[in-house]
Amino acid sequence: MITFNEEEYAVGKEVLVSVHDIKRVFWRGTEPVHALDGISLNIYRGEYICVMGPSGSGKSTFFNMVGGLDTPTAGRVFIDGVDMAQLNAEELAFLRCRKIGYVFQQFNLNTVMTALENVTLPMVFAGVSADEARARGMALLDRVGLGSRWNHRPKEMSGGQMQRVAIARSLANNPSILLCDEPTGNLDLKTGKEIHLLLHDLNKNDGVTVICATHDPNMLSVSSRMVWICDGKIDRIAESKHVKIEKDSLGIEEEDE
Amino acid sequence: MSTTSVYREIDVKTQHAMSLRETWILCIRSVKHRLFRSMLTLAVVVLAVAFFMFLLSESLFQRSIANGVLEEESFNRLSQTTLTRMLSNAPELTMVHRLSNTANLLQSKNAEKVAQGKIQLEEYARVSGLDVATIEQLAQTASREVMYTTWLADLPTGHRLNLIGKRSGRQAIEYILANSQDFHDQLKIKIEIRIPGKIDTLDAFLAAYPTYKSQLGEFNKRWNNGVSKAVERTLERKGDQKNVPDNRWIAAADAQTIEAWRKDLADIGFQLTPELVATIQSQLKDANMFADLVEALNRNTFRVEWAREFNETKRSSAEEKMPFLTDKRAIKLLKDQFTPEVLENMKTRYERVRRLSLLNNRLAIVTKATPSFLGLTGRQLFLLFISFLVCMVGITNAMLMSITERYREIATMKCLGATDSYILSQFMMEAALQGTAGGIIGVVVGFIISTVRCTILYGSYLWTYFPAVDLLFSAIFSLVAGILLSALASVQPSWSASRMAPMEAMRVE
Repeated sequence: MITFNEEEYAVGKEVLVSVHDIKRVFWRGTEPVHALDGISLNIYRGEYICVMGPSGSGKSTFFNMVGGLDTPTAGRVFIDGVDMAQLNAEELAFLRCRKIGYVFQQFNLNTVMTALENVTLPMVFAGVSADEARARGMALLDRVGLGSRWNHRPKEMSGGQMQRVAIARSLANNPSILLCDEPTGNLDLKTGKEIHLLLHDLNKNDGVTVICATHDPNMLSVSSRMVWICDGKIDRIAESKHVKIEKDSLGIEEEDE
Repeated sequence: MSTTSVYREIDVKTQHAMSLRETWILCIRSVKHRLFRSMLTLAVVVLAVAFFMFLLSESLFQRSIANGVLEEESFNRLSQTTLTRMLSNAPELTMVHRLSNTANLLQSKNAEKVAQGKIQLEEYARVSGLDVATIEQLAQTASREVMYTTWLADLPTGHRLNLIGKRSGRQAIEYILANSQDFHDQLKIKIEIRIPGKIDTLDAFLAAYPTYKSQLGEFNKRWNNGVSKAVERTLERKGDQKNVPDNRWIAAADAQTIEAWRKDLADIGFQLTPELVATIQSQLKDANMFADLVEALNRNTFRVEWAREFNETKRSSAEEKMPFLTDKRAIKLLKDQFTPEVLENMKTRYERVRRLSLLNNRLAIVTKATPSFLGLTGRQLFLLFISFLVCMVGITNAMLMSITERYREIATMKCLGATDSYILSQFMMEAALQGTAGGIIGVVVGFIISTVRCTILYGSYLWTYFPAVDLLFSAIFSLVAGILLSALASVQPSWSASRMAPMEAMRVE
């Protein structure tokens, strides 16, 4: 089994997200539940990192910490050199608006707005003028292949199309990080694959850093690094090229060199 | 773990602050997009405000019409009451009620009524030769007497038997005066008996009662002297028409005689202006003619003729005949005595009087109860209070629902970079918009419903006694209540939604 050598891996790369020993405790009645139990991780610019783990392993909690949607009980999170713990509500809003794009399993599109309105909503919050927002929104919709459907509402679209709109929306203000929480969880295999390819394309050609939580083994082929989380701790980190998928399973084939 | 890059600060100043205009555009868009849901919330506000406005305006209509009807009735009885006052001896109890009425007028908030009360006081003083202050004192005590006797008469039978036995009126008061200790003991035991006003006032009244009674007797004697003088003078003026009743004589007398008669009575001290005499004369003419008509209709021979003409098997009463006075057959039958115009007048008069007494009966609940606030009765106020509660609960629930069901949307917006203050202002704006629109529609709807209802119930009286100013006031009140309630009800949920961490909000289902 090849151990992940961070120093070697980090050569020539810039740290974008840095997580220092974060803990998160939820209280179920009087009984503490340690969702995250001391996770430390560096994520580099231009990376496509895949976070894997069984349900209840703390994946989503980790995502919320990195995305500034939740505050850790202990530990610190730096995004692009900014300490999340030190930010007030307004600064957090700024960060979410400009630095981070979110893609959810449930799409979370505004169901009453058209695709274009959904995509331009973050731009409104960023103060982009209406004309520019429309032009950029159309460009983004073209980028995800839905340019012709800008006037459709989510209920007139398929799941894959909704997820594409969600991805276009997350890219609205040119974020440094794209956080995808099980983006293919609600999609069938074929559409899931298309979404993966789109994310991969964005990562390779547009230089977007993608952090992706998934159960989907297809993800392995597009990501550059994989992190396994189990019981709130990092179980294992590996570069994708060292990971091999067995048929009908998701395991690690040890390679001897 | 490699060292992180140096700590950087975020320059929040570069973050765009949403202007009110941008918020407004998004808010309008949000309402427009979920038009059906917004309409539902709006409908709740409309219903609540309309219900409140309906009750409020109907209460105001009722009060206004009731006052109008009372005034009209008392005006219709003006000739009768004036003649009775001046020309017939008043028993002491009648005097008590007259004095009590005067005292009520004096205590009224309406300046016109107070002036009327003062005129009455002066008349009493002139006729009786006593001074105004004494009579005012008498009037106040008389109003107490009426208050206490009514209270005693209205007590539940058991309590009444305990307190005063089978006595009533003055006997009861005298009994209480004689057995004062007993009465107080009873009151202490039976705490459920509530006396009007304070017990001290009752005690003071009881203590002053003997003096009051003798003073009242004196006043009544002097007043009746005045009345006797007035009767004498009237007889003198009648000359050879001594057998003609007063009302016939006054209606038929020429201007000179009537002016001389007026001066005679004014000299004694009665309040009798030329205008009043003119009104009395015209009212009497009308009433006399009506009495003639009723007499004619009741005449036995006429009833037979009528029944034959109208093919009726039974003989109808005068009242039953009234609606047919303008019928050709009736005109033919009555043409010797009355012209068709007179008959038509009589028919309208009859209908007006009948309608008036009908309305008076219908509005008895309003006119009999003492107004406590805004001229509204306790029962109406209670209904209004309940409807206000319903309004409050309805609007609060609608606003709470419309925000809590959008927690996920709020969370998503926060993920996309919406600030807390923006979310708060958008949702408050939506609530205020719905409150204003709902309030305006509700006020209009409530007004229309109450107007239609009152038009059906009271007909043209509604427009004769239309309480425009009060109505405007109540419309503004309902509108403001609607807007304020909607805004207040949405403050808490939108505040907590805006403060919630996005993930927490998303977990709420």
